[in-house]
Amino acid sequence: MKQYLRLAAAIACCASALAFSACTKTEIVAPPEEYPAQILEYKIVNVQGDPIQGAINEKDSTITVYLPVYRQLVTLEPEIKVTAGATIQPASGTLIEDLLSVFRKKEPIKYIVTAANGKTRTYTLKLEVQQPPVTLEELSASATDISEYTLDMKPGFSSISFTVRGTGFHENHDLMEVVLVDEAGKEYPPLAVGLSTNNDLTKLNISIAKFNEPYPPIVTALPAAGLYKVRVYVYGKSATMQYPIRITKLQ
Amino acid sequence: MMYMQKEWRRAWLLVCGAVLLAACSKDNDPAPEPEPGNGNSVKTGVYRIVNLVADTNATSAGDAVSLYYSLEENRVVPASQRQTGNWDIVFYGIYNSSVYPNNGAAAGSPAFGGPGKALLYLVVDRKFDAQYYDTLNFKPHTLPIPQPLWQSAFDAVKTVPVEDNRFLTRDIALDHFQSEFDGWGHYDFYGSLFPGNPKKAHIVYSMPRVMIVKTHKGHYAKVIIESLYKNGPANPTRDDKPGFVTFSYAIQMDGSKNLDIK
Repeated sequence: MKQYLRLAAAIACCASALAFSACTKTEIVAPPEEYPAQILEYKIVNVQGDPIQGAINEKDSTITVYLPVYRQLVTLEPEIKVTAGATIQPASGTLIEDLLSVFRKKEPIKYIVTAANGKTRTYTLKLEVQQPPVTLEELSASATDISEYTLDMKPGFSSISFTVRGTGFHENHDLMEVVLVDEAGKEYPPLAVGLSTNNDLTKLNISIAKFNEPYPPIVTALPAAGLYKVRVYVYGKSATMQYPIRITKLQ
Repeated sequence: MMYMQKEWRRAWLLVCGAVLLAACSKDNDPAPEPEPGNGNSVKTGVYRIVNLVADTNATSAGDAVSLYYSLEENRVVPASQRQTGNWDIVFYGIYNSSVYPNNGAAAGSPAFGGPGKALLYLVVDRKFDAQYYDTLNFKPHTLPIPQPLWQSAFDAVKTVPVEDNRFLTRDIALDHFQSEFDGWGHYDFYGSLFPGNPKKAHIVYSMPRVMIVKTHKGHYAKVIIESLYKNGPANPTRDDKPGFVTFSYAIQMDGSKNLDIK
């Protein structure tokens, strides 16, 4: 009996020794390198409830912020924490205003962190919009069978109107813009979208109306004749019709 | 025995410490967090804003340019900051006639999506109203409404008369115009108060009614709109220029509901 116990003890010793040696084999991974100029936290605070946390990627120096369209955010107020002693430009709390034009211009927003020792590091802000895709039905039947509209400048009042049908529109028309794009790719001033379609998310009633001066910018900007594709911006996404329409402005 | 006593003493100390700590943290609670921003808060007092230019191209045909205002700092805030805590009320919609609080939870409000926590309440006193207003047909019976009534309406509100749950997160607009709600002013769409006078259609008559604002930062203020027209004519016509807001407000910065402010 005693011998058995001794044997058992010996086996146990061996086993535990093995176990310990196995442990020591564990690879020790060095902690991530601490940069003297580093963004430690990036969050959007101008929201109801919890802030939107930005995901900081040290490998490619990016901050990713996910923006679901239902929040309808058009301004961002970031609160940023950096390494002790470092400074950041633009500073924490600096508003990102007019987000819709930020989306459209696609110019990246960059943050430069300067360490106490003067070394700098640049982060790029990636805004990931989460929203359904925008699709449009054509106004013209084909590239050759083109719908035509005429705006007569002679009478006191005249107007063009058409309905844009599609998907992915938003009930808040402040988040949308409808523009004409000419053959050279130039965008014209935005078109008026009727208020009556706020609740119908499949159509937009568009009008170009000439009445009292000052005329809407689009009326002034249109040349005598031209072919235009209709483009619809909805928050962070957009769609452009495949076939153009023809607009003639009679002087 | 000695040991036990020591333990008790230690426990007693712990309890005392805990109480002290709890007391401390309670004291700290009401202190508002320092907020980023310009931080030039006004003092408790009465402020009057004359001919604030909202949208001088305003017509009755469409929405005017919204005018965002910080009662805390007594200044206009750019529309691009509508989703921030920098403002308290906005003059919105046709003729800038709808007043919305900065409440980011209110769907369809210009503040929606932002952090705003402001609230709005309209004080309605039918006995007081009877001096200038047909309380059954919801329109003024005396025009121009006697000027001194604005001061007496403003002075009569000495405290916040209701709890916060009675406040609105959405707008106070024109009185019973396309709605069943009391408003701060009367919109004579057809000119029916002055039949046969085309210069009297589409006119907004401000009324001596007080709105209470709970600001984004949690202070109470009372606001009264005197006029939406340039130089505040007592009896406006279509010749008067809309888009110039004249209003008075009194703000209480000590956190109380005392609005008896001179």
